[in-house]
Amino acid sequence: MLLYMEIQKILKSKKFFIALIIAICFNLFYCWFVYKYENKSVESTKQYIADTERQIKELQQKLKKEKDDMKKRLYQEQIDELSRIVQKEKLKLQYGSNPKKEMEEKARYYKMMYEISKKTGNYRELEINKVNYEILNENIKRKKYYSVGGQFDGWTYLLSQSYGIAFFITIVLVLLIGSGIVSDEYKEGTAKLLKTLPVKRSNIILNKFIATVLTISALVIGIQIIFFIVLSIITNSLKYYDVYCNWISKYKAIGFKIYPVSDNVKLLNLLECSLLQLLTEIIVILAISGAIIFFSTIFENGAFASISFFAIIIAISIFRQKKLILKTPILKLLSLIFPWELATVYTNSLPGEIEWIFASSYIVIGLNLLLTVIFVLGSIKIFEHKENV
Amino acid sequence: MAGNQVEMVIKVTNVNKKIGNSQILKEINFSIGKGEIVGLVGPNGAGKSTLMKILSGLWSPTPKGKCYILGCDMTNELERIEALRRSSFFIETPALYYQLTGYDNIELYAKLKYGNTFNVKDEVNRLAPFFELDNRMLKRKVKKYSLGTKQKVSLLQMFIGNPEVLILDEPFNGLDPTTTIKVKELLKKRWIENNITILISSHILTDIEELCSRIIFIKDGSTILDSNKEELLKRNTVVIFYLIEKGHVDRACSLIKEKLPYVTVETQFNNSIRIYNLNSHKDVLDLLQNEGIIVKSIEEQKISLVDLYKQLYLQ
Repeated sequence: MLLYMEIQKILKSKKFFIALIIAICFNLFYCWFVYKYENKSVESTKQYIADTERQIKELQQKLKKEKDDMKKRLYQEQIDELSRIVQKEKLKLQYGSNPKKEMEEKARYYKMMYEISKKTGNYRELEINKVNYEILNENIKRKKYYSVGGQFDGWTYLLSQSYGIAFFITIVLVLLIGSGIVSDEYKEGTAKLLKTLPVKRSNIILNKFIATVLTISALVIGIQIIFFIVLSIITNSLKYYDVYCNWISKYKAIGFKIYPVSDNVKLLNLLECSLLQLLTEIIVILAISGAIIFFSTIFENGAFASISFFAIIIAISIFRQKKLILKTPILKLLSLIFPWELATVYTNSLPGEIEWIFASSYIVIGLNLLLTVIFVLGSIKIFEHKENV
Repeated sequence: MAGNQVEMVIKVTNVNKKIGNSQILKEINFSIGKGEIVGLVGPNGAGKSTLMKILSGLWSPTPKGKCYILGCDMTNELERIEALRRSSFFIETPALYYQLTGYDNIELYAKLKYGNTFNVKDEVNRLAPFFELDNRMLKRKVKKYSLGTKQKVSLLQMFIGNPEVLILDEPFNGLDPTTTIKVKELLKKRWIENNITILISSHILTDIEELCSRIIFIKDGSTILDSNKEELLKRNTVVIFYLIEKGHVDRACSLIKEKLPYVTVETQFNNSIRIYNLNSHKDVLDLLQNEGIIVKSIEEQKISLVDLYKQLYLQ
């Protein structure tokens, strides 16, 4: 009944209506963006390749001047990633009308890069190129000449960077819906009503948390699934569900970095990959909802809760970028506990193209779940003892 | 549950409350038996609402203080839940969700309190006339309500499901006279039919006087008087001296205040002075006659709660 009450309160508020409009508009905008990107003209593709190559050159110059080993490694990783993107675009430009040929050339490229990495001893590159090659090779063997991002359809919408936009929508919706979930009770004076009901106070917060997670999941994931189904039906792309596009593997630690063990790689098809992505989105929603409920319990004004939450996200992102990245292993590990780190896992890994996989995603997921529990327990304790009603 | 507390429906022992540096409540002790209607009286800032909040479990007293309702310790979560299921609390202002309708608010409250099978519709239909509410009004969203209507809906919630204890903090604020009369009727009806226990705090002293059988006066966080209303009002009287000349009223007042410091005196519009705590009429008569102030007549009245309040708080 508490859950029903909380959901009813959210659904009947103006904020929910605004959130619904925002979620739909963002997804429409994202579709337009992906469509424009995937259907860019030959000229703009050439321009894009030229721009990226210029970027690579700049990075190479920085790499030469840099003395710090950590920063050097970071630059090298960026160069490798951009080089793969350039290669992908060049092949698309050259063999765009012949998917079979494009895929075979891409496989050849990865095999070649794998051989080079073997000679240079670059372990990270070696793993990435090897698994990329295996994915393409498997698809070629099974005569599945389809790659995500080759055209605009349901899978491209869902998997090609959609995690990034989902993450962004989640933040906006959590701020809109979640920031007032407890603080509005103080502001409107209804906290005293809740607290004089014959229910455990911990249940009140727990149900508020569940209601927030369910509502935001329905808005973010529900709308994503609806868009996916509609686009898949329009473009008749649902049939490619068994095309391999990504991978998961066991990891091994080298120093403080964790790398995949390629002998234990499990290739993922589009359906598996999509489900995994939706699961990851739910984990992010859990962690962010937990955090906003915590701030909402502290502050009696939803706006303060939003501002504090947003300020902390920005501050930590900046701090992480400037101070933590690859510097001290312990601090780096600490930086993993923040939910937005999960975004990095997906936004940087285009399906079909194994880019920089943040191999420690299991740790990230575990820490995020732990963080969620801490935030919710913290909110319960504060709510139980707060006397400002 | 504390078994030996059951016969006392409300029991408050050694309740203190400090917020920051200010001591809001100081050693409050009282018990209320089953079927008593008790009024809590005091000026703003006396600590009435704080006491109500502690009674409802919203706030905690200092560790040695205890509040029991229906034998349940309100500082213990499980016992508090049991007490909250059997009692209703209206604290200061209406607490309603503005995005829901009045009926939705009542339904959610009732179902959370008494379970999903509780028949809300019949109960609302039975209670709504006492609050001058109709279905059309209850189906509107709370954000469109006036303060008075919010108060009515919020109060109606408190009567849902025949609670054994009603704790009402300023329940008549913003109510029109018709609703106030009807709500008081409902309170009396519930008291007669179900022998419920009621604790009311209000600034409207006539309401307290009309409803309550016992009154607790609070001042600066302490109980200054706790007594049966009839006894309290019976043993105190007020004497009115009607004077002939209007110009004599102020002089008479000053004179009495100076010569008889133990009495409380106040002027009235109709050339008269009211004197409380007077031992003998003769003292005043002699005093006025010596000063040439002529008294037209003398009238002795039973004291009202307003008079008692003046004595306790305005002197």
